[in-house]
Amino acid sequence: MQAIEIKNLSFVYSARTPNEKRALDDINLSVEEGSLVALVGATGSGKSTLIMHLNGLIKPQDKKRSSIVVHDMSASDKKALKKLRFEVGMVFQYPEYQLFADTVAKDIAFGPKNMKLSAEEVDARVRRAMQVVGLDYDEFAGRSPFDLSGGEKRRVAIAGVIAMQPKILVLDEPVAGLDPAGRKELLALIKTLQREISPTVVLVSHNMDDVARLADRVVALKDGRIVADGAPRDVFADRQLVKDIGLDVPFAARVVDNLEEKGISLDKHIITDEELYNALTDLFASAGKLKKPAPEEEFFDDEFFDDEEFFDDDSEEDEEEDIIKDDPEQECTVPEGACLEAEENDGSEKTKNRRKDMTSDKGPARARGEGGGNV
Amino acid sequence: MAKIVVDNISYVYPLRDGVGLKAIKNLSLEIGEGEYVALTGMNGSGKSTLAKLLNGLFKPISGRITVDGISTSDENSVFEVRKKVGMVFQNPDNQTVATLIEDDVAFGPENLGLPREELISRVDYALDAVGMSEFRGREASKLSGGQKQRVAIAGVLAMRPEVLILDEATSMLDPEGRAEVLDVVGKLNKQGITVINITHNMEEAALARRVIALRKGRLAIDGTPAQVFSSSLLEACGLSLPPAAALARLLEETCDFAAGNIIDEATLAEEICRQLR
Repeated sequence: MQAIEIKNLSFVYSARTPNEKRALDDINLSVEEGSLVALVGATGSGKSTLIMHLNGLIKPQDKKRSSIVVHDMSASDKKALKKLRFEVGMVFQYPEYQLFADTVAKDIAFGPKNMKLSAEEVDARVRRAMQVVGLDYDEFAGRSPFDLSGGEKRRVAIAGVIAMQPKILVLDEPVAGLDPAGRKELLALIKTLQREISPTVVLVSHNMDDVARLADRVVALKDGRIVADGAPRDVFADRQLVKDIGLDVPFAARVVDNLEEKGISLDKHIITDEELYNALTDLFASAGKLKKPAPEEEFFDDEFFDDEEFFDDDSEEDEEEDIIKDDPEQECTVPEGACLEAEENDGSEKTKNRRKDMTSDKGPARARGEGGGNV
Repeated sequence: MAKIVVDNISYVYPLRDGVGLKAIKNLSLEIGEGEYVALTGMNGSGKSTLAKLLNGLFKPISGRITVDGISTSDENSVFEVRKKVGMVFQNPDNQTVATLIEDDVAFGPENLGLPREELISRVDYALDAVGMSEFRGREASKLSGGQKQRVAIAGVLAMRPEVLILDEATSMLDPEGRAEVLDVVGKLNKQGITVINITHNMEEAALARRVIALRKGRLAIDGTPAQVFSSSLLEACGLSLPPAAALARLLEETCDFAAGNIIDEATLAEEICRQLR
């Protein structure tokens, strides 16, 4: 079944003025329910204009020619507009800038409240949304969203959207500006959201590695037209096309190209680090240069979904140390050496734990990862 | 000779009555003239706070920061520091003040009350340095993200700064825009401008000659990219290896392959080729 059906969609900004710009040019696109589609393209290629059509933030200009149907609702139908917006959850870039309420729970409740749900249902949805994004209700519900870290704020903002339990989730550059740990955590969360809440996901991204790892299908835009559409593996394999569109290829594909220049030929369809690693170990094996049997296939998956480190981080403890009262200077006199030493121990300990996780087969880290840290 | 000296500083954000959040704790470091430093660490580690302390937007609650020997805490001289230390921020859309590009670049030096000829020569220099001369009469709002950030850098360059701080200046750009900005930054550094690039992107950090990682407001790692990426503290800082380095290490574990200091994919490919023989 198609979750989204777009036919003959064009859009022109500032029509009939000197600044006229055609943002979308006859787009035809169907998105199957249950798929994760990555929408890629350079800045100005029309990605944002396209996604804003999906929940009626922008209406089709030419109502006769164009049609957008989302789960049997027409995006041009004014009466269905409200329902459409509950059906299509939009997480814009830097969604944490849109937080506004004085507590996390109130902020997340804003959407479900607008759906005119009962107080119990709103509360249940807030709790569920927080659970799915990995925010502990008792710890975070009453806190001000503005006192949270960048990664936590973003999860609150996403929780506010998924609390409406949209069937389609649109994420515009969801990991921009996050640190590597936060990125990894949020990327793992996208799969969880798809499984638990929104079966269909549209992901806008500039990061081709994320696209290669997450998407079932990649749709590339250039100057408002769809210029590539297919499985990431096939789209990225056509290097000339990717270059013409002005896109990058994933890291693994770049290594393949670098090796090709040096006379080592690998499959152009390699797009993930795991595939590259496997191909390279095969290469070393056939040269008789293997140390020991290669680790199990899910090696990289484990690393990718191993979000244990984020959830049992010691930040809680430290935050208490960071919040100080009245005399700010007082606690700033901890001897630097002592603390660095403590951190060093902490660091090596973590490294050790991680090694263990990576080599153990499907250990607890994996189980937790798959449940978004809540299993 | 040290351009910037950070001497045992702490900084606290006031939250509510009498309650504060310690963002920087007893931090000391020195940055030399002409260095290219990547400043990294997880969200909330104090990177941006440090950047704002370095040009006197914030003042340390204890300790002292000097730029060319001038203290950022001294109200009378802080303007001198701001002239020396220019900042470019994250969002390309929040940093333009004028409609036309050349007017935008001229905004800073105009406020110095410079004569017209000097003003024009500074704008020419700045736009040329970022490769945006041909756009000078255009509207800033019509540019791509990478172009806007280059104009933002030009606006800072027109002040003739000695230190350029980029606070996640590439994080909202597409790959092409990011490459444009980093190219300009590398060239400016070669001309002698001290660069401090705040970034979460490890491949970007690897472009610097020195990487400083903060963790919870303290200095956690300080060294060359190769040293930093082999530090046992990397993960504790919320950082990751650049993908080429991560892959090289995995190969090292299972194959007869020495990962050494591989950071980028070209070196990785070279080493694979060499070590397969």
